[in-house]
Amino acid sequence: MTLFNAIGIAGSGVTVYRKWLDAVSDNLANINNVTSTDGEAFRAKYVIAQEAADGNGAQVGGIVEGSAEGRLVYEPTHPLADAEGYVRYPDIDLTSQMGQLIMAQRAYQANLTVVDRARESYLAALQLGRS
Amino acid sequence: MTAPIAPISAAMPVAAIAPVSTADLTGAAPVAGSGGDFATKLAEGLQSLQDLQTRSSDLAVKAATGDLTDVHDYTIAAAEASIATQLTVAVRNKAVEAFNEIMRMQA
Repeated sequence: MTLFNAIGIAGSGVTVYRKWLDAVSDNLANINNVTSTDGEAFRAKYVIAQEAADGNGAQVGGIVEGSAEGRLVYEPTHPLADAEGYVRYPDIDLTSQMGQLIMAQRAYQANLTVVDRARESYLAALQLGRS
Repeated sequence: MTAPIAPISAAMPVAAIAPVSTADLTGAAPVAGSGGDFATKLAEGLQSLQDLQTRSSDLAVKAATGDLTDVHDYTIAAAEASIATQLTVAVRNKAVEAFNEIMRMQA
């Protein structure tokens, strides 16, 4: 798209940050998943953002998953606990995820603001010489 | 006693107006070559407007059927289609205005 480049570029950014929000949301939803020590913990998802292939805007290059090892927690009363009383929790830091949530939300809003400002500017350009 | 007013004579001849040569007119001819003429540009503009409108309508259908993954995809497409429509209308109005201006020209 060449006519409204600013709008299209900001739109690609909005898509990237929507996916980041989705990833953070998924991580938070699974943050308390408990597995037995012989199973895999939930793998945190991290969005890889990069420049778009055509050079206009951003795109998601892929999703990187965190460690399946998680962290071992001593909970002998848990039904999934092993003989030594340990269970496996995913290795996700709640504070870090909340920070990422704020960053993703603000960036999403920033890109939407760009869309809005670009729209206003284009409409102002259409008013040229109309009076 | 006042002096009689001198009769108007043909002593002030109006210089002959040089005829407009066709060479002058061709100078203002549409710029041919890479840019293409106005009609081509207009057709391209209408085609791109048509594409934007189609995309906006497709996304509206997706929103209605629940297949829309990104809400902003639709709102951005709708905004683009709206601006493109207004741009086309503005160009059309200017063209009609110019045509009318020429038609009002005195013979």
